[in-house]
Amino acid sequence: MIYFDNNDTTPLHPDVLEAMLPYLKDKFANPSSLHNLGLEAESAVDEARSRIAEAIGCKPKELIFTSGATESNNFAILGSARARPSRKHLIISVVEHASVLNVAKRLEDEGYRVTKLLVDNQGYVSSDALRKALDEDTFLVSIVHANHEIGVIQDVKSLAEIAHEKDAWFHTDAAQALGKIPFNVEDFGVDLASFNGHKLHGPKGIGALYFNRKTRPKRLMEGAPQEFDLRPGTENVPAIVGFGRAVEIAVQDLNEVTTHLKLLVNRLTEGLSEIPDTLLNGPPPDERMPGNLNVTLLYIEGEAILMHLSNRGICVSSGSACSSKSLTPSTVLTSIGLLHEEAHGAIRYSLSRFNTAEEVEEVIEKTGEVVELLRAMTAFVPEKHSERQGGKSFYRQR
Amino acid sequence: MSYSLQYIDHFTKPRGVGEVVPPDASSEVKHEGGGCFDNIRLTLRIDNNRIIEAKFRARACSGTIAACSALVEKIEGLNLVEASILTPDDLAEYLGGIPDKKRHSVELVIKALSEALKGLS
Repeated sequence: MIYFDNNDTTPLHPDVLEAMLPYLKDKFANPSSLHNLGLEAESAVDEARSRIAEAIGCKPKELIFTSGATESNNFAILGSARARPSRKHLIISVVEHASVLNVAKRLEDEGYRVTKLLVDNQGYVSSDALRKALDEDTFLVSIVHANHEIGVIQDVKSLAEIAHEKDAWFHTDAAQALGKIPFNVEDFGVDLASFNGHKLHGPKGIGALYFNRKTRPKRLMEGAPQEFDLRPGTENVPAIVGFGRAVEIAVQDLNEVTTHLKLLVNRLTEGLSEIPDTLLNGPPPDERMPGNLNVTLLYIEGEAILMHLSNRGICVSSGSACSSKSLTPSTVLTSIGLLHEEAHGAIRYSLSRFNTAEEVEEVIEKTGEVVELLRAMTAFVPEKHSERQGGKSFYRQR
Repeated sequence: MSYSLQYIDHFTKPRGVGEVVPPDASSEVKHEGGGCFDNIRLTLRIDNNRIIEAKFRARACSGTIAACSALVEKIEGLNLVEASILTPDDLAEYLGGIPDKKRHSVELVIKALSEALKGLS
């Protein structure tokens, strides 16, 4: 099996599993317990928190554990809204994760104003557009750092500076960024940031939210005073330990893994670009998150490509409407200007440290085979596609 | 719900891909009312009120390709009345059941058949 769906989730790193196992067996105690076993669990949580805090450049007391980036995003946005009740305006972008888009929708239903910034055809948010949208009523700007579908990396440092001109807090969803690209909250000047464990070979069901003393969101759940009285509930100690170890490994190996992924994705890009009528979605490879490649294979449907690849032992994901229960194509892809028909044939390849050059060659070969098979049975080849692509173009012009 | 063996079989080894030339009946349909852009061209050869050959082309997801393949296999040999009363449920059953998210596929394929037969009357 070849797994090229690592932006969805990643396999657990063997060292992470090793680190977790004692806390799933003998060291099972509640970190709030006062006996030695409890204190040992508490120390493990503290150590993991310190490791992650060090990796992102904050103090341990500025980081709370959550169930994942979805909860962190909810917490950051709703908690900030509750903490700044006199301000009623939220700014996000159109390429946010559902856990940001749908929280924004909830606030809109509650009477808040929500501005969704458009992006250009590679997925970048414009600084000017943010500056124009900001006002004294803006409580928060929330812009994803690295997009899970097209791998575009936003200039969060500049965007945060602009947000601060109107005293708006700045949050970034860094779920995909942590451990894949350098991320430092102090360097970037962000006020809140969301992370999770399972995108960097850690366990599922664990994430974190960074905040600073000035930008402390209001707690959303009531209970005991865990996580600095912000997030009640007994800590998920094995997952926290695994998350800490995963971040430690990812940061330690960042340069080596980035080089490995660039080589693999460059070859994958080169190989897939030889398939006629193929579009690259998002920025060029050297500007995007390492390991990510998103292409549209015109005239055919992404879910069918995905299923054929799956039958050949290859796991990828698709932005096509038929891949979603709602039968709507990826909003990220339509936001960067893809026609619905083009989003329909989109395939995302997302690689990790565990993928190899041999796997890339096999994926190129099998993708070509599947495209040929499906194009042989296709019903229509719309004129506008032929005119637009001429059967050759791969890169879009910005 | 996972995919049935019949579904996988029809999707991976579709029957009747191509076109009947010239067709006695044909239709071109696409999914309406959503972002799904599945579309189908269905062509039929008819002799003495009986479908003797059916072919399809599709730019579509696995469900619609499987449903097209199942349809052309099922309708060859049927008379026009028998073919006209086929329903999406009949096709889903022929495929060994389909997940809810692929309901649009059997509906679209039956629509293609209805449109093609409508052209005859």
